[in-house]
Amino acid sequence: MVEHFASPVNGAEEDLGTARLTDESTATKWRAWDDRWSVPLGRARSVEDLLVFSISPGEWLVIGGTVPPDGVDLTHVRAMFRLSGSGARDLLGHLCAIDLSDQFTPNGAAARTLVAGVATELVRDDVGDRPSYLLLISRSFARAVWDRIVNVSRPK
Amino acid sequence: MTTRRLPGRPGEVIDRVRPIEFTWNGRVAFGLEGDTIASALAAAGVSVFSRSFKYHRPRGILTADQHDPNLFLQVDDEPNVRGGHRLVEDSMAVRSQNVWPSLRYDLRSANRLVGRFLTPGFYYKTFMAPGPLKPTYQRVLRRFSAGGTVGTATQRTFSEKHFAHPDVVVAGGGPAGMAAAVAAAAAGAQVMLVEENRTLGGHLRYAGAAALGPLSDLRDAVWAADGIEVLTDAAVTGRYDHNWVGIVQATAAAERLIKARAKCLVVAAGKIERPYVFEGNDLPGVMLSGAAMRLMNLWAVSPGARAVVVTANDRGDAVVEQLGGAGVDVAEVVDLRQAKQQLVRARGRGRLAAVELSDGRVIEADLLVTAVGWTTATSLLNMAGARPVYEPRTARFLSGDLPDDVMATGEIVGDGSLDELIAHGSAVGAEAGRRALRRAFDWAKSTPRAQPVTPPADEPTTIPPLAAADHPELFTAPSDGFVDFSEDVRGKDLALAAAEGYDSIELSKRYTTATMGPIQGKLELVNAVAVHAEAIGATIAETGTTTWRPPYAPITLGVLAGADEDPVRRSPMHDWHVEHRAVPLVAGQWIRPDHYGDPAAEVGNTREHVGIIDVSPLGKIDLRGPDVPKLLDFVYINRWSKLGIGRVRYGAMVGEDGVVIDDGVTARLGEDRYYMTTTSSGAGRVWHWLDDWMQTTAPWWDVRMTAVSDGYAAMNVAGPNSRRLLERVAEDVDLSADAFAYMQARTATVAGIPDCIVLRIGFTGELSFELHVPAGFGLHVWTSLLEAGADLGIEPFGIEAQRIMRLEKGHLIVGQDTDGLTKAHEAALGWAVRADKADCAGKPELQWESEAGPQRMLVAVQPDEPSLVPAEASQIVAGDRIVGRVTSSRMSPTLGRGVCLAMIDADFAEPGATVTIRLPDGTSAAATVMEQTAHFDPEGERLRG
Repeated sequence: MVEHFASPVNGAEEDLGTARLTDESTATKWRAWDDRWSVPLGRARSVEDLLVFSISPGEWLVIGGTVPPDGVDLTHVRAMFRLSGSGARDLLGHLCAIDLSDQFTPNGAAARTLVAGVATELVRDDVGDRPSYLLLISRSFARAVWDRIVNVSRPK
Repeated sequence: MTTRRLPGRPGEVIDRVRPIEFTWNGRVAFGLEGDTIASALAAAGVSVFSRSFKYHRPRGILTADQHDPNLFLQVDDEPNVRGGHRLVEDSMAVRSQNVWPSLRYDLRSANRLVGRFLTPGFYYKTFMAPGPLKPTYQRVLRRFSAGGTVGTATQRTFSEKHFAHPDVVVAGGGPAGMAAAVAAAAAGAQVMLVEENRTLGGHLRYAGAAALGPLSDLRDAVWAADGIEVLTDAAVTGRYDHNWVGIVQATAAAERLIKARAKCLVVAAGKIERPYVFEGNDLPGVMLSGAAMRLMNLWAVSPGARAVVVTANDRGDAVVEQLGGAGVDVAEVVDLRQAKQQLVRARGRGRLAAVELSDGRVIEADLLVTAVGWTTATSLLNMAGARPVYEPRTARFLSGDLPDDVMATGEIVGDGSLDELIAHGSAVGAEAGRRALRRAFDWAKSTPRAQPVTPPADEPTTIPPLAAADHPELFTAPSDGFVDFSEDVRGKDLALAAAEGYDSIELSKRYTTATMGPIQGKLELVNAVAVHAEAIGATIAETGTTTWRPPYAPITLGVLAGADEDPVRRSPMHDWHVEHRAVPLVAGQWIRPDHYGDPAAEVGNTREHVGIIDVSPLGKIDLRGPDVPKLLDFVYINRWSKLGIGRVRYGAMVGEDGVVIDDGVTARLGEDRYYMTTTSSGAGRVWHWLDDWMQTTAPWWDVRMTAVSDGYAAMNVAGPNSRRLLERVAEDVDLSADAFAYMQARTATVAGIPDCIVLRIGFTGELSFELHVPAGFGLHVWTSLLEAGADLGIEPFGIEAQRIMRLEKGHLIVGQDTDGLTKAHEAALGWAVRADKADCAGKPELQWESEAGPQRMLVAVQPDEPSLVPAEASQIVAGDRIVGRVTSSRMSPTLGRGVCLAMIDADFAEPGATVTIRLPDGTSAAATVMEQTAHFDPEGERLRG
C-alpha cells in the first residue's frame, strides 16, 4: 500500500549548501489526548521508537509507531520535512520569527509557529551534533513551504 | 575634464591600479575602484550633479555621503541611488534625475523666474479649482515631479527578510559604537553592530592620518571579539515597541530587511553636520567640512582650488589645515567664534564664483566650506520615547530620559577626546550586555521550550560622564538661503508660513514641506526650527522639534515587500490537473481546476454518464466523544441528537445575529465519531467558531476536535454511471440503492485503499458518491477511478461545471447567494430551523425572524427570454426601487436557458411573480419567480437513484 502513497513533494531531497532539506512525510503522525509519556509543554522527547512532543496544553503529537484507537491519525494531514545542517537555523531564520538560538530553541524544543506564513509545528531534533528541525506542515501548504525554503537558500 | 585626484593619501579607500569606466549622462567617465559615483565624478571635475526639486537649480556635493540631498541619481534602471554612497562599477550608466532636456540646460529652471509665486501652499492655492481640471493638473504636474524612473523592462528582484534575536543591537559603527559592541560581546552578549557606511570607523575614517591608528585598533578588536555580527551598508531604520528594531542592509546587489528583537539597543549614531543658511548656500562648490574631508581623505579628491572656510568649531579648524595640506589655496578663514567677521552670501551663476563677507570684501573662490554646528542623530532615541531637549549652550538637541532597554553612547551624548568616547562606549556596551543577558534570563525562565541558564551579574556598570561641548548658536547668516535642500524650502518660506498662521513647527513642516524630503530632517531640521522660532518670536526650546519617525533613512518599497508570497494550497491531485490542462482558478488560498476546456460539455457528460471533481479543499473536522451531538445541536440550526450511525445530514450554521455563516454535511461514522465538512473558504472560520463555543460555553462537553481538512483528498463521483463505477473499485461496502441510500455514509476500501469515507451526497443533483480518501492516496484513487470508468464515459469536471449544476439544482453557496445580512429563513433554509431546540447559536434572532417573517427571500428566477443570462449582481427593480439582485446566474446547458438565483424583497418573491431585472447596459428584462429553488429535477429523482 505504501507504494501508492504520494507526498506533496514526492519524497524530494534538496542540498541547500550548508543545509539539507528532506521529505519525511511518510512517517506516521498522530495525536494523543493524554500524557502517557510525561512530556511537558514546549518539549519533545524520544520514547522508544516514538518522538513525542507537546505544543498546546492537553495535546500531544507523536511521530512513529502505530496509531492507537483513541488517537487521531495525522499522517495524511501533515507533511513532514527535516531541515538539518549547520546552515539550517539561518535558513529558517528567513521564514520563522521565533528565537531559534540554542537558549530559546535547544535540542528537544517544540513550538507551533509560522514558517513562510504557514502554521507549522517545529521540533528541534538534532541528528548527532548536527542541528536539525522537523517541520510539520498542513499538507496542502507543504509544497509552498518547501519551495520557499529552497528559494531563500539560493544566493541572491 | 580636469583631474582633481590628489597624490596618495593615508587612509584612502581607492585602488589606483583598478580603473573603472562608466558613463555620466551618456558620456564616458572614469573612476577608480573604491570611488563612489560622486567622488569619481568630482575627481573628474564635475561640480553639478543634479537639479533641485522645485526651482531646478544646479546642485553639487554638500555632504559627500549617503545623506547628501543633491546626489540622488539614476543608475541604469534604478532610480534614487545615493551617489555619495554607491560605488562606481564598470559599464554603469549614471544619469542625473529631474532634468529636462539635460542637466546643463534644464528648461524647468524657468521656475526660478517665477519663484516668488511658488510659495508654500502654492499647489493647494492654485490647483484646487475648478474641479474638472484636476486630472489635467495631475498629468502636467507629474512631469515636474522629482525622482528617477523605473524601466518597464526592469528585472524583478526579491529582497530578503530575516528574523533575528540579538542580545544587543548597536546602531552606529563609529569609535563609541565599536567600543560598545566589543564590551557587550565581552560581557557574553550576542551583538549586531550596524553601520551605514561600507566600513566601520565613523568619522575616524576621514578625520586624518592621526585617527588611522586608533581606527585600526578598534576594527581589530571588533573582528577579534566573539559574538559580534557586523552589518555594514546597513541602517537601523526604526525602533518600535518592545525593542523591535528594523535593520535594512542595502548594497548594489541586494537588499534585505532584518527584523531584530533586540534585548537592548545601543544608539551610537553620532552627530550630523548642519548646513548654514545664507544666500547662495546651494551653489555647487559650497559644501560642509565633512564633505571636504571625505573627498580628500577617503578618495583623494581635491574639493576645489581656492577656498573660503567658515568655521565655528574644531572640525572647521582641522579642515583649514587639511585643505592647505592638500594644496588647496585657503584664501580666507571666517571664524564665527569671533564677532569680527560674518559671511554674507555666496555668489556665482551655476556654481560658486565668489564669497561676500560682512567687511565688504568679495573673495573669488570655487570652494566654500562651512563648519557651523551639529545635529545629534537622536531619531532612534526619540522613537523609543525620549524627548528631544534643546540645549542653547551646545546649540543642539540632546536626548531626554531613555527606557531601560535603550542606551546611547558617543557623540549623540556628548563630546570628548577619542579616549573618552571609547571609554563611554565600553561602559555603555558592558551595561547593555548585562541588561540584555538579564532580560534573556527572565524570558527563558518563562518560555517552556527554552534552556535554563545561570543568572547574569546584577551589578550595573558605572558609565562615565560625556558632556556636550559648548558651541555658538549659528543657523542663519544675514542673507536668506535654503533651509531644506531636498524640498527647496528657504528661510523666507518658513517665515511666510508663520505669518500665514502656521505657528506650530508641526504645521509649518506640513505646509512648507520642510524636512519632508528624502533626507527627513537630518540636515535641515534644526535650521528649520530656528527660522520658525525667530518668525514666531519664540525660543528654539519653546518651539521644540517635529517628530522623528521611521524610517531613519530612505528605504525601497521592495525591501518592505520582500520575497513574501502568499502561500498557496494545492490538492493531492494538483499535478494531475496541471497535466490535464485544467484552467486554474484561485479560490482563496487554493488553486483549483476551473474547467478542463469546456464546462458546458463537462456538465453534459456528468448528467449523461459520470463525472469526477476534486473537492479536496472542503473543510473537514474529526469530532469524537459522547457530547458531539450537543455541539452539533448548538452550532447548526437543525437537530442532530438522533442522527444514526451511517447517516449524513445537511446543516447550516448561523452567527449569533442569525446570519448564515456556513453550511455543509456531517456524517456519523461510529458511536462517538463524527465527520464534519464545511465550505472550502469557511473551514478556518468554522473551526474557530466551534472551538470558541467549546472553550467558552461548555468546556465540560467531552468532545475532541481535530482539523483534518488536508488529511483527506475528496472527490465527488457524479452521474448516472457513478454507482457502476464505484462498484468496480470499492470493496467492503454494499453500494446498492437499498443498502446505501441517499444521505448515508460508509467506510470502504477503494482502489485498495482502506478507511475511505464514502458519502452519498451531491451538490450537482445527480446520483453521486463523495469519496474522502487519506490524502497521500488521493492521486492513486483519482487515477484508478478514471481508469476504471473509461468505458463508462468518465471525465473530470471543474468548479465551473459544478457551479452550473448546483445552480440548475438550486443549491445555494454561502457568501455568493447570501451576504453579511442574510438570515436562515431568507436563505430558504427555514425548513431546517428547529425552534424546539433548547438552545443554539443565533436562536433568538431566528425566532424573531420567523415571527416577523423574512424581509427578503432567496428564490429561483428564470428570465422570460430563455437566451438571456443576466450578469450576477444585476439589480431587480420595481419602478424606481431596488427590490433585489441576481445572486447567481448561468446558461444551463441541461435546460438550454438562463437560470438564476436571486435575493428579492419578500413582497416581490411570490412564486409566479414577474420581476424586472435591470441589466448592466441599462436595459430591463422580465423574469419569473419559480415555484422552488431547483430549476432541474425538483423532486430529486436523479440523486436518489
